[in-house]
Amino acid sequence: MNPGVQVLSIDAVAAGAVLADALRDSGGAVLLPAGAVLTDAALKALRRRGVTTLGVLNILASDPADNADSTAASLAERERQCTRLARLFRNSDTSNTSGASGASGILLARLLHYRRQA
Amino acid sequence: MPLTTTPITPITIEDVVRHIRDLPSLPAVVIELLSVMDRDDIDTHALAARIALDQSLTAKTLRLANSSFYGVQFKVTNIAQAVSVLGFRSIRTLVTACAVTSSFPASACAGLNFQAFWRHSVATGVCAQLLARRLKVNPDVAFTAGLLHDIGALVLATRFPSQYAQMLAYRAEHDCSIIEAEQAVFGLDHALVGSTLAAWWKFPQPMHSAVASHHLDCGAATPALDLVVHAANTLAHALDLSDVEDDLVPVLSDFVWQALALSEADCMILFKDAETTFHEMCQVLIT
Repeated sequence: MNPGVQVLSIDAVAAGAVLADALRDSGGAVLLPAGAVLTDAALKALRRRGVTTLGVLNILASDPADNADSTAASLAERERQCTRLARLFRNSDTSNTSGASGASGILLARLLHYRRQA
Repeated sequence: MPLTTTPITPITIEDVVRHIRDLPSLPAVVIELLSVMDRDDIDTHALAARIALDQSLTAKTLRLANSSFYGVQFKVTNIAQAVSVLGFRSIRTLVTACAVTSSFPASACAGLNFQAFWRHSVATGVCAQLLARRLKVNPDVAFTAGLLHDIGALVLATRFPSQYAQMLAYRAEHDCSIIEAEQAVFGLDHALVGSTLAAWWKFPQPMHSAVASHHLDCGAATPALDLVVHAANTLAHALDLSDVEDDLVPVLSDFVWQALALSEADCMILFKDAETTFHEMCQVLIT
C-alpha cells in the first residue's frame, strides 16, 4: 500500500481531506479530480451516490500534536501544498498497489512530510 | 490514454539530423572539457588558458564564480584565478553549463516556455549532482548530464516550431506526459533527438546514454549515470522547481529507488539541499 494514501470509510473522512486519485462513477466519468479538497457538501453528495470508501492523502489528521497550535493560515498553506503535490503526482496512479507505483508513492509521502516540516 | 498509432505530423530522425547540422557547434574547448570530464590527469593550465580565449564564456563563468553560491571573499577576475580558487572540476562544470545554455537563444524558441525549460534543466542537474555519490557516479558528470537531459526539446522547439505548438496543444488537451504527446504528434521524442544532438556535439558516450534513456524503464543492466538522471528528473518535477502549473511528475522507477536506498532522514536533507542549491544556481545560469 502506498504510504502517502489512506483508504478510509467515507464516514471516517473529515472535511478538508485531500482526495488522492480522481474519483470516477461506474461509467468512468470523473466526479472529483485528484487533489480535490473534500468539503462537507462534497462528502454528502458522494454518500448519496453510494460511495463507501475514499483514498485520501495521509496528511492533516496524521499529526494531531502538530495541528494543535497551528493557525488557520498555516493550515490553509499546508492544504495548498498538499493539493499541489497531489496535482503534480496525478500521473502516478498512487491508488494502484502494483510495483510501478511503489517508489512514486513513497516519494510523495516523503515530500508531504517535508512540506509539513517546513 | 488516447494515443494515436499514426503520428499527426511525423518527423523522421533524418529530418532531425539535417536540422541539427544547422545548429551552432559548441566551442571546441567545451567539447574537449566534456571529453575529459571523468578524468583528473589533465593539463588544467592549458585548458584554463583555452577557456580564457572565449570572451563570452569567460564573462559568464566569472559571474558564476563570483556569485554568492561559492562564497568567495574577493572578486575573481580571470579564469586561472577561478581555477585556483574553486578548483578545476567546478570550473569545468560551470563552463560547460554556460556554453550549452548560451547556444540556444530564447528568441528562437517561440512556443517553448524557455525559462521553465532551463529551470527544470538546472533543477535536474542539481538533483543529479546530489544523488550521484549514492550510485558511485562522478557528481560533475551527473550535473552536466542532468542539465542536458532534455536538450532534444530545444531542437524540436526551435527547428519544428509549428509542430511543436501542436504537440503542446495535444499535451494540454490530453493532460499526458510530454513524451506521450511527442510520440503522438512527431512519432519520436525529445530523448531520441537529444541523444542524436549529443552524438553530433561529440559528448562522451555515457552522456548520450543518459540523455537517451531518462524516460525508459530501468533495470540491473542500466548504467549508473542513467539511473541518476532518471531519478533526478523525477525529483526535479516532484519538488516543483520549474514553476509550471500543469507540471506532471513522471513515474519513479522502483529499481532506481531501491538502488538509491534513501532513508526518510536522507530525503529531508536531499530535498532541502536541492532547493537551496537550485535557487543559487538559477540566479546565475538563467538570466
